[in-house]
Amino acid sequence: MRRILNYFLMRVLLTIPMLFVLLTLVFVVLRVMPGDPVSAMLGGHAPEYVIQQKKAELGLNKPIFEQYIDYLGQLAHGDLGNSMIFVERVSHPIAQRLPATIELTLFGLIVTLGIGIPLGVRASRKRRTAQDFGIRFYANIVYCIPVFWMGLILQMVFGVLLPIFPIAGRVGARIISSDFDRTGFYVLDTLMKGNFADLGDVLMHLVLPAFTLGITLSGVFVRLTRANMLDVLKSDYVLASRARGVPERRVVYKHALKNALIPIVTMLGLQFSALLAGAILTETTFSWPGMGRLLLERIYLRDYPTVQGVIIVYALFVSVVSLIVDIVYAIIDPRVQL
Amino acid sequence: MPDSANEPILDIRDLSIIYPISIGTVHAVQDVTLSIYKGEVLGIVGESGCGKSTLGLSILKLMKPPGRIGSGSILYKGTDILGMDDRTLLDMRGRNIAMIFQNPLTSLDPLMSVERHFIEAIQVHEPRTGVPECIERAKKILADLGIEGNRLKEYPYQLSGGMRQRIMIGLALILHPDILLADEPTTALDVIVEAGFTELLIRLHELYNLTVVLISHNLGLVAQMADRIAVMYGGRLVELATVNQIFEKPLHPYTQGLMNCVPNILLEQKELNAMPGSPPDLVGEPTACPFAPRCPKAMDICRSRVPPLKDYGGRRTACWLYEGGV
Amino acid sequence: MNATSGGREIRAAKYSPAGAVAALFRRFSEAARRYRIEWWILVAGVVVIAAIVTMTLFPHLFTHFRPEDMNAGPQMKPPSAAHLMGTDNLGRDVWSRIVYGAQTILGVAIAASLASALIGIPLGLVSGFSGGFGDKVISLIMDSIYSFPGLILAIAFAAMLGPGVINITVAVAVVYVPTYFRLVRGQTLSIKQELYVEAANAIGARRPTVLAKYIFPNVIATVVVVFSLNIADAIMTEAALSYIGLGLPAGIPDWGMDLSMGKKFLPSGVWWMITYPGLMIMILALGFTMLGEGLSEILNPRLQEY
Repeated sequence: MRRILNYFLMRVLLTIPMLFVLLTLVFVVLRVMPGDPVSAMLGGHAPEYVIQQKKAELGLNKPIFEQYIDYLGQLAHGDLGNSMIFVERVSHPIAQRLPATIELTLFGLIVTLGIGIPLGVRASRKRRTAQDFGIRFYANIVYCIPVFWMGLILQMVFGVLLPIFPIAGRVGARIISSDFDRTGFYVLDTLMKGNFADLGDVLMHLVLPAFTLGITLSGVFVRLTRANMLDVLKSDYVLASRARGVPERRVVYKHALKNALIPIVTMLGLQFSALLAGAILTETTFSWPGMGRLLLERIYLRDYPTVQGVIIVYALFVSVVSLIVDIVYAIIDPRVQL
Repeated sequence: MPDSANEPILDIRDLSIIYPISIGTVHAVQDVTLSIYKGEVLGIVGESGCGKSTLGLSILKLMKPPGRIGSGSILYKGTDILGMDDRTLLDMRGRNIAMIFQNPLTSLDPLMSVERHFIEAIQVHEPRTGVPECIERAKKILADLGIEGNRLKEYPYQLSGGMRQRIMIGLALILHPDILLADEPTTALDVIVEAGFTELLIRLHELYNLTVVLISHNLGLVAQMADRIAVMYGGRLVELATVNQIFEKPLHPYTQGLMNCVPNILLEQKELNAMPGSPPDLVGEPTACPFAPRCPKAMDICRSRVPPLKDYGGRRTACWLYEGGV
Repeated sequence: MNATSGGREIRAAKYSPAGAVAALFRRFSEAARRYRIEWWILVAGVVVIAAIVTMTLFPHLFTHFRPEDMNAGPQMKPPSAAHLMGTDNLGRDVWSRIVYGAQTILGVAIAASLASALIGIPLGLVSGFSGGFGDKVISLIMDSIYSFPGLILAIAFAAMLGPGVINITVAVAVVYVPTYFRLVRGQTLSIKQELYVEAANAIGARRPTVLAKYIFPNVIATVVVVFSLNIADAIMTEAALSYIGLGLPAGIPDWGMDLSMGKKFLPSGVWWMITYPGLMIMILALGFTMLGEGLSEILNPRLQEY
């Protein structure tokens, strides 16, 4: 237990340099580039003294280095600061939007794995047959489809031509949003309230975005699963278990797939950032009120603290996922000790 | 021992295994006819690529893809293995005929404990056996193999190579099969471990009343264990005789060459001979003795016709040299 | 078996350019025989890329409409004989916008990939070869950027830089520097251990000489493959940025921007405004992916996913 805790702490410490690098990069870029929140807020025609006064108020008149040190000090206390545009803590809009992004990526991930792994297994078992070539063709095509175009096509086919699924937002207009205050995860909220009509509505809204994200990323996992399964199916222990009379299904799913999953899980950590990038585009296409939308809205307003905050939270999200991946890895593989 | 009163437990007849590949058909095993009798140890020897491993795998109908049966049959106690339906075949594998492989280091699933391997091996054939009983039986067999029962909880990566090979044997014998196929069982082990392992195999042969088919390129190992030796070359059986016959008077020039390759301290042989030439190309239907290009005694007929396997008073060989008798 | 013999051929050929070309030629003609499917994938990729490159060079051969011409036809009409892919909400010909838009996306993607390669490769070579504290710091920075979702970074840069072709190129390029850096550094580290490099060091070859003559030629095969796959990726990143509305001023025809325009009219069933630009992005990306995949099988059969 102590070992696991130590490991956990080590991993968290290791993410600090990464956060630091990204933060510095964004901080400098934001301030070196033209445009600032005061002009964005007041427009170009405000009198000079008003602009100067506002800048002083926000601390923007200090040298960049000093601003940077101030910000780091603030962060060290776990404080993301205040928005420069709206009267709110930066953490407030983030807390509102983060669950939407997590919900989207989680369901997207489920779709990706749900399509990618079974197809990859199938292709490896039917190696060099028409099925194999068909599945590999699918994987390569899907890999080259831009996420947002996939979103538009699904909207067109299943939202407009065949109006089955809603094409925007997380819930229908008739549902009052105060019902979703508990966790912000709408699926969870409706489940906890036992409100199955609303749950159905929430799920219907999730279908197209989740499939948009899931299908486009499934290609990578088809290829990964197929390649690893081919390796594992050639291994001696697969032959040995066949020689012991273990049925083919059990050989493939119990022995081969379980071993093939190890490198797949490792890749999952890396692919997760592709998933997050895809999520931004999906949010844009489906007007999904998540972190990606927040980032875009605030970038235009030059709301420095909020933009920095969003970037930090994204980076933390990535680290947490890679931590989870490591833990899953240790659970499947007895050779790995945390 | 071959005995006319004794029915063969495994009877391979005219077996051909072919691999269709892009440039033609590879005849990995061709027209092999071989009877294996209850209780004997049969050694199958030959250089790599001669088809001995493919022959071993085909006994369990486990040829590596895209290999398939060209013709022939393999009768186990009178039933053709190659014609079995999937259920019977699965049930036969491991229960009646078991196999151990070359590389013990990679022959156990790295994600499964030794115990789970045993439970699986038993339960796929006897689904109603409970876990405690499986473990009890596994412990008993491990005791025969000289492994402590507490090793059951461990994972393959925690065990040495020799230990893993013994566990492979334990898994093979847990259901008391009649026949054990051992495909190069000692190749991956170091010399000391190999010696111990060979003794163990000899002991188990008696203890479990096994019929053993020992596939190896290691003539020393085969000489030590086998009653009879089958020599394969280019997918064909070229000589079949008792160990003494083979070592005292090999008939086929290939076997003679093999014997010359073995360093022999007692005979004080002056030099160690390496056989010239390389193994034959198995693509396409052969029209000559496959060994002819490397054979020091090759005659004209060797290059135009394939010699058949003929009986010479209880031993067999396929060579034109002995057309007029041995 | 193939991998080692192929690697040796390329390695042995590094002393004379003519020899290198001959070795490559041998390798390709051998590949044509051996890896049939991979070969056809490569050819298909080259054909797609060649077709679109021709389109960018001679757009007037493909359409007689101008992409900004609002009087090309009636507004928002589905595909017809006069307008193969229909017209948009302003009465512009969709096909002509695709023809001229190819210049933007292809130019930005290639320029951005080149820029990342030109920064990432030398940095990776030197960093991997020299090691030490500098290597650690650069690696840390590169790994941080690499593990972060690239598009988010590109968005931040594009938004800060403001619209413009050069600006969007920079924003896309930033994302891919770590890809080249990590690849080249990793390979440099492993080649550094090879006997012939140690031998060169032992006879006192100067460090820049070793780097240029022994290490760089061995890295280049992999870089070519990754470069091609990278362009495919950059194509999608460029399209994503302009789809979001970042990066390009309004006057320039661009597939991503046309898609976001088409999105507004999607609910009224205007399918042609979104179908064709997206299809073109996919085909172009597919072309470079096929080129890269084919090359990877032929040049370096053991290349892993990067």
